[in-house]
Amino acid sequence: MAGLHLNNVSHAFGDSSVVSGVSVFVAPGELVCLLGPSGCGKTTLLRVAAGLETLQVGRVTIGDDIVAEGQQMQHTPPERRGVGLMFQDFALFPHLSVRDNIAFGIEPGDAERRRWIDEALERVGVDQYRDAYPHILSGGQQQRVALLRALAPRPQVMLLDEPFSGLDVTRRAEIRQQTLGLLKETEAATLMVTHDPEEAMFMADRILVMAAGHIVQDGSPVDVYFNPTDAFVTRLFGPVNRMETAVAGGHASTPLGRFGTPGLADGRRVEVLFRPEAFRLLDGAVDVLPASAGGFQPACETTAATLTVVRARPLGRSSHVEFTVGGNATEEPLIARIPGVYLPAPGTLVSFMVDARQVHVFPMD
Amino acid sequence: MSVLAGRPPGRPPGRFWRPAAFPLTLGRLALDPWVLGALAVAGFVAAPLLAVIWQALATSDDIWSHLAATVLPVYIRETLLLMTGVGVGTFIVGTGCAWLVTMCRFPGQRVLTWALLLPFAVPAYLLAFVATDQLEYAGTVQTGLRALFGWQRPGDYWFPEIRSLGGAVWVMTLALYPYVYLLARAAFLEQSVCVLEVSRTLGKTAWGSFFGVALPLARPAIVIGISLVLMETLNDFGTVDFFAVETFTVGIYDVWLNQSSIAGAAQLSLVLMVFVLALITAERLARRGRRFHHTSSRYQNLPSYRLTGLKAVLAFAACVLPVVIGFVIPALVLAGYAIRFHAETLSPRYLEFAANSLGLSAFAAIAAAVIGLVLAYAQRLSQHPAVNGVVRFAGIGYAVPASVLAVGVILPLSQLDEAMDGATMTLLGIPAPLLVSGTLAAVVYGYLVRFLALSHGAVEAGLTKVTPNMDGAARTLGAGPGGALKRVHFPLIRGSLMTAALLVFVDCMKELPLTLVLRPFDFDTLATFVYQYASDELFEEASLAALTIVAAGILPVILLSMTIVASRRGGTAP
Amino acid sequence: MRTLETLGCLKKFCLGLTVLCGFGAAQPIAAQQAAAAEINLYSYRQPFLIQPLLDAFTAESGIKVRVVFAKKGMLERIRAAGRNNAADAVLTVDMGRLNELREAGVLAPVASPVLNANIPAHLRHPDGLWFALTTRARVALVSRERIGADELQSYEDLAEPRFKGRICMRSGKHAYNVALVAAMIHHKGADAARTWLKGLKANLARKPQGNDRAQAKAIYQGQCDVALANNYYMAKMATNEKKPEQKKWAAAVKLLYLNQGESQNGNHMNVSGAAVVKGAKHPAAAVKLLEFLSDAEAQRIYAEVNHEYPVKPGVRMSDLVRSWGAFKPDTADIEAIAKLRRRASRLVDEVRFNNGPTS
Repeated sequence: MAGLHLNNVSHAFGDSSVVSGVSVFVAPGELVCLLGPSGCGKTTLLRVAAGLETLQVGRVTIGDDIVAEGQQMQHTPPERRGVGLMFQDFALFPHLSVRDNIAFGIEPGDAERRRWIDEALERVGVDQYRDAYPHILSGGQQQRVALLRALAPRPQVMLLDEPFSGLDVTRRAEIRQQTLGLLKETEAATLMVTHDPEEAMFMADRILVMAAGHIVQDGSPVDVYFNPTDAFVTRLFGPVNRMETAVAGGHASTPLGRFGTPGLADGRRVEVLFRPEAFRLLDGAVDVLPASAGGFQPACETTAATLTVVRARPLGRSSHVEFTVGGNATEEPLIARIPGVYLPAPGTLVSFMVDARQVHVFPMD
Repeated sequence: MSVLAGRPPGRPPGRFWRPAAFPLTLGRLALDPWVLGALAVAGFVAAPLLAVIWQALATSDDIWSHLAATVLPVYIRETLLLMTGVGVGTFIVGTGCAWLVTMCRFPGQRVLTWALLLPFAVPAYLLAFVATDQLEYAGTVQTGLRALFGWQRPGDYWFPEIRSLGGAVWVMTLALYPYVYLLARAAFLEQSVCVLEVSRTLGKTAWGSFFGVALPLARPAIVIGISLVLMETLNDFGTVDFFAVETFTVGIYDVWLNQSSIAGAAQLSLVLMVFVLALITAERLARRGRRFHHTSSRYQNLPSYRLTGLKAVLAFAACVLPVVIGFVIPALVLAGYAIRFHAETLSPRYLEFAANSLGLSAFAAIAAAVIGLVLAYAQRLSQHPAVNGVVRFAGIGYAVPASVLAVGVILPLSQLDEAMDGATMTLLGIPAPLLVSGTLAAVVYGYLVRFLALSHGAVEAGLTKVTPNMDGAARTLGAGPGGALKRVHFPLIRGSLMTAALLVFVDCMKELPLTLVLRPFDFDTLATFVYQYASDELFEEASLAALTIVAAGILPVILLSMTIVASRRGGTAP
Repeated sequence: MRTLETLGCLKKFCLGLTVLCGFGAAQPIAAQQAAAAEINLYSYRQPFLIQPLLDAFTAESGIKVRVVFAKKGMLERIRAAGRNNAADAVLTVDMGRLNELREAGVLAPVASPVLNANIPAHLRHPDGLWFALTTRARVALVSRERIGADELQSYEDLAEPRFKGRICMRSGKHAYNVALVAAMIHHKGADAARTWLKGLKANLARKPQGNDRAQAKAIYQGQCDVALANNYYMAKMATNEKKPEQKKWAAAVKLLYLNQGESQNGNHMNVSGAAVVKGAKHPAAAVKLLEFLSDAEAQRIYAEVNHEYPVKPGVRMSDLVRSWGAFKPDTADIEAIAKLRRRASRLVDEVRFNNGPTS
């Protein structure tokens, strides 16, 4: 078994349980994202995998070696696990130059790795700073140095703790691209922690959604986005419109359509969640689904609804439109995200249909 | 060194298996060499404290009822008053001057930066002597005033009584403020400039930034400084005795010498220890949960508020006053006496005493820095309350009156000697020479026990510069705890280690009571030589030796100041 | 900056090592090897005071004396060392310390005809556990101008209201004063002593502070009219060439022996003494030292240089001391008085003597 295995890991600080019964498997060359809000235990899991926290319950395996075992108190120290860990604050050593920072984890005589370092420095564009000290670098440059430092010893497993959260938004896309490229080259099993869903979707082969110490859903990005297991996962990807109703005849009825509710008894109260991207102008272009969308689509009928625009703002590539169903001014407006520039005046009546794949029904318990 | 050498890339070298016989928390501790080493070292340092406690418990003398009925309230009151006065005084002088000198620019600021540390080189008892000498009835000041105003008798005018609580407070403030100044200045230098700039854009003036931002952020360092000051105040005997202030420590010595009850003295010392422990714990509890790391990793030159006119004059005066009163005047007075009495005071063995002082102090300083580092690092590694507890306890030595501590040192060493003697008798049939008690080893041991708090505190303060994530980075990159210490922590805290060593060096040079009791025969340091004469208030004869103590402290003090500045990344404004 | 720090570190380290190698652990071992020619002495007296005596001893006997001077911790050091004692002899300035050492059982009995001949019986322990080498009187120093003849005759007088605000004292807890209070208890009982102390406290001109000489200084400055001091301080002040202002202090006061009347006990006396430590490595040499100190030459130095009263019969006091006249010393059992020290110290606490006249 190669790669990183976390089996049934639980961790508590004092009386409060931070991680409960989490199992994660990351294959070599795969990039798995742990996605979840702050405080859900993602960073703790990472630290347990790295050996910076002593495993309390469960087992951690890297490659073929069990590096940590809860009950039996086995604990391979971090320096012997062959993991690379990239910290949120980068943790560059202020007393070493950039190059010395990166070379920290390699043997002094390892010429081949030194060459790799020199090439990598050029590639990520910090070559001219190789003898400078970290404190003069910008955030993005420090991030790249930290990444190279973690990669230099060629670890089996790479662990990234919110690697892009300290960067300005404009650079993020470019740096993400670069990071992904570097990671894929190394064939390390990579586990990344983030709270940004778009980042997770972009980087990950698989996403593990975590909440309050548990794994809530484990799947490909498309899976998690189009087939969330519950309202929490749905909400992770952005604000959703919400309607409450009761199951009747195996369906939940809303002004925007009837949606199937398999496995739920009649009379059960449910919430129907519409993503802002679910709304389609009736005479707009038809979208195309990726082939591996998977999952079943609940039986439903969507109705063309006439909605009153309350407000419309351009966002560049899309437009943010708010409207109400019945023209009732006091009602909480629904939010739609329409591709392109679409800015009807307030009060306009527009016809919309809803894409059933972007609508999710969950029981309210 | 990376452990990844010589194997296919990316493969960890195999298991490191620990037996599971112990419960989780203890088991983790039981086999960690760092933790075991630290516990052993801390135990070694704590042994005399335990001896004091043991002595305190092994008695049936009832001294408490007598004390409570008579002088205990006085002792407690005087001690609390003294501590409050000195605490407040050193806080104001130390922190205020540190801020002025770090953040503002005014004429003389550069020199004052290190000059403000000079009073650290002057032992408190010398300062006390000079103060009384100059300020009492026949001293220069009052004689001059009488000549000026034509007064004849004491009843003609009012002059504050020097030998009083007030006198003791300000003499000890002058002698001890350098601790607070040192640590406050280091903390102010460490502060990320972004935080201070934000404060300014939010509309705060220099003073506003000081009280609102800089001071709270520097709080841990300042508190450590003040707690050192308070501990020194608590265990001081020479100065308070000189000023006829009856503190708790005076009571301890009284019980010891007049009631012939070392056990009683140990009991009272125990009370002091508990009190200090409580203070420290309270402060830590109050501090829990807050973070004092830098939040910004970018450093620039510090901004400075340029002072002009009256403000500049006031700033200069405020900073130069402690230096003049606490160092320049005593040095001049001593130098004057040394010249006047040069024939008597230049003992033929003077160089020998000086060499003794320097050698002992240097050795103890280095040992203290190393031990402080080992303990602080082991604490950092284990993060276990038991380790923290033992180390904290070992640092209490600073609060115990030194002579009582000396007795505490004697006990375990004598036991050791006796054991070795027994061993050689049975094995070789000859008595063993005294190997530890009554040797220089005993003196160094005493210094270590007494000054551990100092070196440990300085190293601890320095380690806050290394974020926990840097530890983690070093570990995951293949450096074990020892490797990380060598390659990451040590380079980063070199300045703090230097500070620790320098602080202990100067304190050892000045140290008196421990040396007196523990030293070998025919061995004198400069301080014990001065004491011969000082104990009869014949300072004049000992003035050259006293001056040497002060002079020996000047260079380390300057080095100290330079170290603090150098350890700040990014430099300071010129 | 780095080079400077490293250099500084290195320098200190090397210096430390060298000096330590020179003086360090080799020292006590060397001492053991030179066993016959040395003794180790714990002294409560400042070395500069006893050095002339020790040098004379070494010149005569060839035995080197190595000294440790301290005012605290000696007893504990001796006691903790057990049978492996480094010290051979102890020199004290006070009966209280000798008594304490005796009570702790760390003194060795000495049978020496020389010592017995030189020292009167009431000034040594019957079993030879301790020996007094000099005596000193705690006398009154009174202002020449402001105190008339016969105004002050006894210690008891000091509590009389006519001396209100006119007395300066050093700390009531100082060994010399505690000894005086102990003597008072011995002669008069605890209750009378307490009353006397309260009266004395009420007569103080200022809070007890300073040493004996400082009290004379206070009289000279006009702060008070009467003080108590050990007699040799008066002599030292009067002959102080280095600090002529002390001569002025001495000139301003008169030395009075107290309690000289027929029915009275005599002036309170204290002793400086010596003893041999149990378990000493060089007991014979230690006894030799004691014998030397009790003999004519040393006793003369004590008298002439330190202006104390020698114990050896026939040795003259210094001229200055004799100029103060003959006097009647208190010959009560000094060991019995010393045993009352604790009680005396507690009495001083009960009366809150050190708080000064205002409370």
